Amino acid sequence: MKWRLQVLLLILVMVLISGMVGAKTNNKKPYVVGVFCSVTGPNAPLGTPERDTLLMIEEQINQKGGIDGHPLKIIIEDDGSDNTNAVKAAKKLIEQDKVCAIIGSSGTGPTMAVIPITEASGVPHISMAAGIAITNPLKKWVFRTPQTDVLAIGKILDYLTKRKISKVAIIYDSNAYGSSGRDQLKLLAPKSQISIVAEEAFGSKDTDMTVQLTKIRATGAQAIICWGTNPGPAQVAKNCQQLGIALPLFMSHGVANQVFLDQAGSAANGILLPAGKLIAAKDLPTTDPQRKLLLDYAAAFQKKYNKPADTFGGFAWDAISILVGALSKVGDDRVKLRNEVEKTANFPGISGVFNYSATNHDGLTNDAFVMVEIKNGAWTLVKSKM
Amino acid sequence: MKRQYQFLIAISILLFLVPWMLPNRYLLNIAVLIGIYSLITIGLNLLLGYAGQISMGHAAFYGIGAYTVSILTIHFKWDTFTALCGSLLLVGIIAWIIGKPILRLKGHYLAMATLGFGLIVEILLNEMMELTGGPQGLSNIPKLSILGFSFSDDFRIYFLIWGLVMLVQWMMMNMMRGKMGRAFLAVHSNELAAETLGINTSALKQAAFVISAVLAGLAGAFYAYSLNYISPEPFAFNFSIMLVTMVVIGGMGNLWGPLIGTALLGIIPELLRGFKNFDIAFYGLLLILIVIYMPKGVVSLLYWAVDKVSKAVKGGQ
Repeated sequence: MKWRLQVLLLILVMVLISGMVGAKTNNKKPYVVGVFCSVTGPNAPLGTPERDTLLMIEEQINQKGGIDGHPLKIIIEDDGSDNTNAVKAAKKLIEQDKVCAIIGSSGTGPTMAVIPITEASGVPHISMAAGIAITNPLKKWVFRTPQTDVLAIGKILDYLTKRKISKVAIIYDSNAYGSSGRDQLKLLAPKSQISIVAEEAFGSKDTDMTVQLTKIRATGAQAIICWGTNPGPAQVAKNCQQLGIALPLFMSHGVANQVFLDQAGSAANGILLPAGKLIAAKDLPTTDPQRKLLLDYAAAFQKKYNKPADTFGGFAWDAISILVGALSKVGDDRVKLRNEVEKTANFPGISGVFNYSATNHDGLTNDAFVMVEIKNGAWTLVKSKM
Repeated sequence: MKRQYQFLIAISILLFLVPWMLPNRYLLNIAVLIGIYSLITIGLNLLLGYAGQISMGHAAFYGIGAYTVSILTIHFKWDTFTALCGSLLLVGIIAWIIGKPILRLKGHYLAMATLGFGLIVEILLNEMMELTGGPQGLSNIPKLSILGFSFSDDFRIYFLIWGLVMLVQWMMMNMMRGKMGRAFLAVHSNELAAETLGINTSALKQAAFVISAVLAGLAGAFYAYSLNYISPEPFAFNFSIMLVTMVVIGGMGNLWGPLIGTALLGIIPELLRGFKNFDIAFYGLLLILIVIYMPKGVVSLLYWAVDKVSKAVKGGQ
């Protein structure tokens, strides 16, 4: 028994020591940006491409000699899609690593949990999450790169109005993202003379939505709008196919990624969704200011990681690029950096063209979205400008 | 037993000095979180280790505590301290009501029932949008202030929380030393035998359940006051499991077990950050090793070490 305990102790000590040594190798860096994103947990499909993109940009910038000679150092912490972990990660980045700015998180919950800290410490904070509460009401230090669900819903409602569809059902993930989408839809739909005839929820980990869909089928809805992030919506698509529901199915921009196509398989065909321009970049007119940027990013990402780039990586691309732009102008003083980020204007990014101001920390407008349809497992731009 | 009290004093002095030894606020924040979790695990240990009743739903009491203070202060503009008292009262009443029928169950059935309770609370937190803010949670929760003294940063919260942890620990030690403590041990080893000795076992179990729930509620209130934002995820089923794991890893049925377990599970993930993406694998490996080689918890290592040292000292003489 004794030797076993000793072996165990030895392992414990070794693991802990090597962990600490590993943590301390990154010390010489002029411009340090902190990131907390959800590489594990339910938001992992968002956090993973975000992390990959940031690592790629860091490498690209440092190969070109950094920002005015200052190497860029990005410290990435995984918050595991958990609020408490996000707070710990943010405190570590701010207090221990002394970062000049912070990017994160992938989800709304962890972002909201960290906002009191970034606001109190005065650190520029760019979130990659879509929830409306992040920048509404406006917070001095907090910015955001993704398109808001309001813009996405506006795009869908426009489309519905043009197609003379007036009765819709909504099925949403009962997490922050899904319920925020539901709230906004309920708020905006009446303005377009569209009535919501059914409202069903599913849990993020549910594996069968046939009950909810059967209920929806009985209500006489003319279209179904599904609001959630993977894997729930893929299951909704599959169940629709199994039940033979032929109604047009709309999804949110939250599923505009390869993972969704893989999970939903043939059930994805015919699904319509508002999405950032990235997934349909090839179909864009050559005059589009983002076109070259999008194609370059997609090619570089594909080359480095051998998998397609997606919208979520784009949120990270935008966040770090806006920061790098500001860093090259004013250096890494937190106050100056915040003011410079707020001045960002006509900045073409992956998610759209950014214009921040003292009263708007959202940056994007309606034209950041295009409607896409999934055809034969691939994204195609819905061309008709309607 | 006297040695236990000396140990308590030594730990208290050490904990008092900790904030001055920590180089930054990040580590202080972790110390605060460990303190908050310790409040729950000390109570859970009373239920699990002494009364011998499992609860897979303690995150729910933690959540009710957190949400009650948040709702009372945000929606009803209560004073933070009054809200704290109100939340403890509410948690106590809820625990007392559901404890009555639930604690008649034994073993797996009790585990199932508490699990169900936890899930119901989780669903309520998600669905009672007007009150709880739903999955988007509640932000702008005020800081705790007592008689005009605001616990505005981690430094002040640290002393409040660890002071409370030590107070609770001291109360537990007193309780275990007395008649009630022996009654608990009797119930734990054989409920029927305890009953024949004239111990009111159901009242005892009920007491342990309510005490542990109120402690969890207290921890929840502090969580809300120190983070200023809550959403349902931290109070979900996973956390209930985490709490039981903390008690078991530390060593249940031992007064110091839960504190050790909580501290270990709070600190290890931070030390493993250097491993980047492999940290979870290492974390799992450590837990497996501890459970295999130290089935009575890490606290047994402490006893083994003390034993070894005292033998060595005796041998030397």
